[in-house]
Amino acid sequence: MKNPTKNSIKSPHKTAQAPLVVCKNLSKSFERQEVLRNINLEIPRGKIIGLLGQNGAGKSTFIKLLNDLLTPTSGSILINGSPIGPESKRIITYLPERTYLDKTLLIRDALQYFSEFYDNFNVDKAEKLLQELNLAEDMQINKMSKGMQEKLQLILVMSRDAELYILDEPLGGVDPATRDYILNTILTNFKEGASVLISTHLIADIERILDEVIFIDHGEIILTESADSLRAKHDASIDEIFRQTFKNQTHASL
Amino acid sequence: MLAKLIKYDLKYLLKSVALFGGLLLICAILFNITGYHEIIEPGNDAWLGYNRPSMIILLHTIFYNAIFVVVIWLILNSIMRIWHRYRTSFFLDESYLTHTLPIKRSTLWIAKFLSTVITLLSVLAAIAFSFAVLSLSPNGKDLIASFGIFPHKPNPFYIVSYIITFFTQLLCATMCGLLGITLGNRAQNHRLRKSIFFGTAFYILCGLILIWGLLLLNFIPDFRAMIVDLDVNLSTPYAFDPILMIKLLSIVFIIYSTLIATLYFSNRALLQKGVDVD
Repeated sequence: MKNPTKNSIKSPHKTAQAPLVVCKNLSKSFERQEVLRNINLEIPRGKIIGLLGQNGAGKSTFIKLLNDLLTPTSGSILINGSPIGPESKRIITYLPERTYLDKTLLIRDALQYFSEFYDNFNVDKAEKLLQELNLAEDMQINKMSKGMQEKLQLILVMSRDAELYILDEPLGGVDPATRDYILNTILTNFKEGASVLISTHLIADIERILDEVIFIDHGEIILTESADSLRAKHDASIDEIFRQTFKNQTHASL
Repeated sequence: MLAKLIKYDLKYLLKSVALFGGLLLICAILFNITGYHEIIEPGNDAWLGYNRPSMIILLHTIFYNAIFVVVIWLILNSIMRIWHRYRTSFFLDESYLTHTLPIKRSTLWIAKFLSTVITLLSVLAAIAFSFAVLSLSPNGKDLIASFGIFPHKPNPFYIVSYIITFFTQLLCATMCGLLGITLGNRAQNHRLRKSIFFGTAFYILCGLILIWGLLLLNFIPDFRAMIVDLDVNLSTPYAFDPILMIKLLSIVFIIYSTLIATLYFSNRALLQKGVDVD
């Protein structure tokens, strides 16, 4: 596997447009532990990208840095050519691993909250998706099961007409039927021309939708490539390549 | 955006103010209704008893104590809810939404500060309204005096000065807690414990600064003369001069305001450096 100093996803239909996200020498440490090391990465527009790595590889840390939930120890992040700020947050929609809604709110209040703060929130789309789930808008969030709260959050996130959809472990801990619902909701609702960054270690479930893949291990990007060319190169599925790569990494570290 | 942020904060914070403010008002009304007085025989001043049955007097005593408890709880609960709201929306689960809103972090902080100010003002308004109701009865006036707030002859300027100074005191204590939470959440572990530690340390430090400030002022002859006059006034109730008290309260107000400004800008600077959400 290659280990480039600068990882740029090579798109088969590469456009002349500037990348949506550019990370330069990005590092993050917690006390003495370096969780991300010298990340150099460009994320193109209009692609579904899988951020793939084992548990604790640094996927969530990287995503939190993109969302201004963590402060980089060193390096920089440019989104649409500008540092992280209100403008980048306007074009990014983010689904974290945890439920972040105020549980005292009704679903209707949550819709109102999103429409008040995000000018690109599509209320009609959200209401339609809620109807499909048979969720009444006068239901209080803390009366809903955790699974339903996660679905509500997914609906709110996917109802924004954003440039970049960042989904952190959207399939973690859900049953196969719910996985299908989540993947279907993602695929049918993101804005045309936008990019989707999905972090997961459950590759078999999502590899069919990926255009590009990023492998991350021990805080470093170890591979960035188009999903199709990677499959062709190894004559194997992404899941098999992932397993082989991390098996080798684990053996090497032993 | 600022107004929207404040609106959502107040929706949460004012619920308990409305609940306990309403409870306080009910207690004040019932206290007045159950008010009683002694019956003295005209001519020889012999005590004949009370003008109400003992059950009513018992209820009156219960409402008397309930008013103290509710006033203290209203203040404490409101401050704790401000801290809780700040911690959850800036550093716990809800922070994943707060910090990804397309809003500058400085605006988030201004909104938090303004919603804190509005909440504390609402608390004082709720207490003041109930006290105004209490002041309609002689028993109520005695109860207000027992808070030690308006000794002897009430003077409107003194009352206003007292309320303003008390407000800055509450705001300063709340801001100490908020800065403690911000600092505690910059640590990588034991964040709650560290938040409590830093908040308490800031509160003690503010108290010490206030005392040192007053002690330093004591070196100014005019100020020392004023304190001596004030001491004489407080020990001779009928000669109480509220103007002296207003002067002292103004000095305390200035010290608290300086502390609040320092705490405000320190917290803002820390937030501007960025957060590390768990």
